[in-house]
Amino acid sequence: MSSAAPAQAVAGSGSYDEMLIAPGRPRQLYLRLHQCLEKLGHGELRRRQRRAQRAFRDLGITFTVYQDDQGIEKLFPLDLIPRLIDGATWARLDRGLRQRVTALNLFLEDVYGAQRILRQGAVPSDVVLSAAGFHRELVGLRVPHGLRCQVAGIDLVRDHHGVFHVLEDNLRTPSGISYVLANRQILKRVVPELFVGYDVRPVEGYCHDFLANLRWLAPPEVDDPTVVLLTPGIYNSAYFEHWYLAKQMGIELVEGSDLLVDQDRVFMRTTDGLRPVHVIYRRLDDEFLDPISGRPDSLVGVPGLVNAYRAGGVVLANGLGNGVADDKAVYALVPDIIRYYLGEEPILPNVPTYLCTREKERAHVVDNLEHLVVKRVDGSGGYGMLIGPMSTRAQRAGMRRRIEAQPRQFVAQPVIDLSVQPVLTGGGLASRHQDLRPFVLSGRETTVTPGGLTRVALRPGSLVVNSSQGGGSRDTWVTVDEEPGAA
Amino acid sequence: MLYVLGRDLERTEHLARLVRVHFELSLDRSVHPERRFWANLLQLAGWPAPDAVVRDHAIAMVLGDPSGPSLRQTLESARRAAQAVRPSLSIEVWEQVNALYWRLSDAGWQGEPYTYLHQVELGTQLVAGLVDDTMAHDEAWHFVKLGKHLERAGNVTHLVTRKSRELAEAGEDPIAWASVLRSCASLEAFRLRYGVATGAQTVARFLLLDRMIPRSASYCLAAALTAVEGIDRRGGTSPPHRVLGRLAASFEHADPVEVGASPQRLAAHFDEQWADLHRALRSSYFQPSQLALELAGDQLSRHPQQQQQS
Repeated sequence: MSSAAPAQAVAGSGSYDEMLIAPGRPRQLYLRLHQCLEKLGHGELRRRQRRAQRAFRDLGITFTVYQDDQGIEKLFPLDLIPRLIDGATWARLDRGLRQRVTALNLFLEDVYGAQRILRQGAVPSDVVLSAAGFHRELVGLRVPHGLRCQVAGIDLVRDHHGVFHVLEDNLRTPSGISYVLANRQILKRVVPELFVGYDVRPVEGYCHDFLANLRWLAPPEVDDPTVVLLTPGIYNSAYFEHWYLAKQMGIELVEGSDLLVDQDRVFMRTTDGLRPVHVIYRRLDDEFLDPISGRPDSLVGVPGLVNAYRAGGVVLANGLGNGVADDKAVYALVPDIIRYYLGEEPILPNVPTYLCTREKERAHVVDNLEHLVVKRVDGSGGYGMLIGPMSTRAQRAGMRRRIEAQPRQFVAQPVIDLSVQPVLTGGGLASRHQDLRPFVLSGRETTVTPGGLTRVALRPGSLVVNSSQGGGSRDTWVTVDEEPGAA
Repeated sequence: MLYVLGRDLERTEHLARLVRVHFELSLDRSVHPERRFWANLLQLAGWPAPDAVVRDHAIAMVLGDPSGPSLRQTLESARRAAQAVRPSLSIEVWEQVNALYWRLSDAGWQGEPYTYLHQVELGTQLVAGLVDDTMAHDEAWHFVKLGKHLERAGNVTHLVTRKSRELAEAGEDPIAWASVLRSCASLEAFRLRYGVATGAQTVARFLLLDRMIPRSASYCLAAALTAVEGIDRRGGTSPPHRVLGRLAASFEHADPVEVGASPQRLAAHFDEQWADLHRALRSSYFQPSQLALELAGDQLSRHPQQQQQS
């Protein structure tokens, strides 16, 4: 497929096309949008696209890609064509996501508490307790409101029937929400005419809801708690996001060196002296948080922070040790986790997953590598995965050796044919694969920001949408149905 | 770094206007070009002046030569500073610093510098306006203002003295002096005060001592002093406050006739104090370890803001 292949060329390829039923025939929901795009014409759309990219550049919305030890400043490409989700479809996703994250929060509280689910054998304890993200030393630690995951990013993909599946849970430091907010803002400026006739649910509430949730975590006796965002600093690839969120929430953006721990309490250094910090929205991975308890070479952490957290002197959001619940092997157990805690059937299906620790499943995996996607259980960002159909013999042989050596490190899934939607390219519209990462906030209530980040693979045929692997994004619109249930 | 941001934005604007005004002046002199005309531009911009240099080369140097104080370098430095203190800036300020930087990276001036330079002037003025109108007037803001006003005071003082030296033998040259006023965006204000009599004495007096125009040395030093007071807040007199207070006072109370006749003396005093002032700024604001010593006993204080200055 050439990079400028018209969208129509892929419509019959088997992937679910979000926008087109057949060549030139948009789905009902996309009708008006499609007309509007045609009216604007390709040249004008490309001009608008350039304006959008300029706006991103001016805002400094760049991220750093690391390759061969070199960091390169890059724009996160935005496609102007929004993805639409009708109200009824969203209502189901919303329920499914809230169900899943509610269960995962209960799971975390249980695993770091009484471990009922393991003792009752509802899920195999060997899989859970062997997860790299399980921190044994945190068992017994109480956290405010028993809540350990305040923000989750759940990756969804749509198969060739158009059915949404959960591909991955991200319960540690999921990123991308700033792009959701910025994409919407830029789209409003650059292509306002696209919005005409659509009742798009706003996304701006995220910052407000999230800050309210974070403040709720502070000790009740504190009147006006101090919430800060802890960033690894300007060299982190997500620094834009940290900066943007701190600005939007009106909280201080701090680096490790701005904080200090004294007798298990955390303080922020300010020009007026020390100010107590009650809640930290941290965007540092567990092992970098504290050079004393984590990696001693961490220059971005705060000595004593983990002890303070364990002593209840400060709240961390997300909590420590969440990696046990988004481990890619534990992922396979999530349907059972939902059944166990909520007594409900999962609303959103998983993708079938083979655990390489199980001998029979491992045998199937190593014999069928060319048909499977193999992932590291603790990996993220698309690093270190093998996409069977696109792999070389040597890559498969290497993966086979790694699986045999460390079976707990790997899971495998059938290749999911991600849904497609046209993107604007120099040569016209071209079909590209995409996924969806909605953001789920947990506080007094669990809420989902309408839509989420639609990540688009910009290389033709590519199934990898991670920004670190050359992906882009598009705005995601959840529409309010004109007649309830009409979709 | 906030200080650097204020300083380098001001310097960028100054260089842009200097080149623009000089370019426009050259069009008035095209019939009888002076031999050192373009070398003078380099000198005014703070470069070691060559004997002779052609127009395009001189402009190219001031706009983009990495070996001296060029506009391009100054703007890059301003952007680097903005990056480092991004959390302290409003989104609008950050966005426009960035936008200006990228616009100029994309653009060139090729033979017709006006559009390019005008863009730089407007861009930096936009940022300055946003600094005032979208940021809290807190310590961070005072640091930006301090950098800006000290830079401006230095620029105008040096411009006046260099020009006086250059024009000393040439006799009265109202057009050249009008250009100096234009380079400080103060021609109109000057005309309102002194009418059309544009001579060396009145211009020097006006640009160094006037208390009303925001680009005179005296005005800028007073504004810088206000910024230092905003930073010190706790009251008392910090070393920068003492040095700057003395310097501002020497401008405020200078004898206008004497300064008009010989601006060099006041300028020499300015340069002397300038070194002292920067020593004081470094030790009080830009070096956290020394600051900590000064606040001995108060182990809780370390200024993140100030730490970022160095």
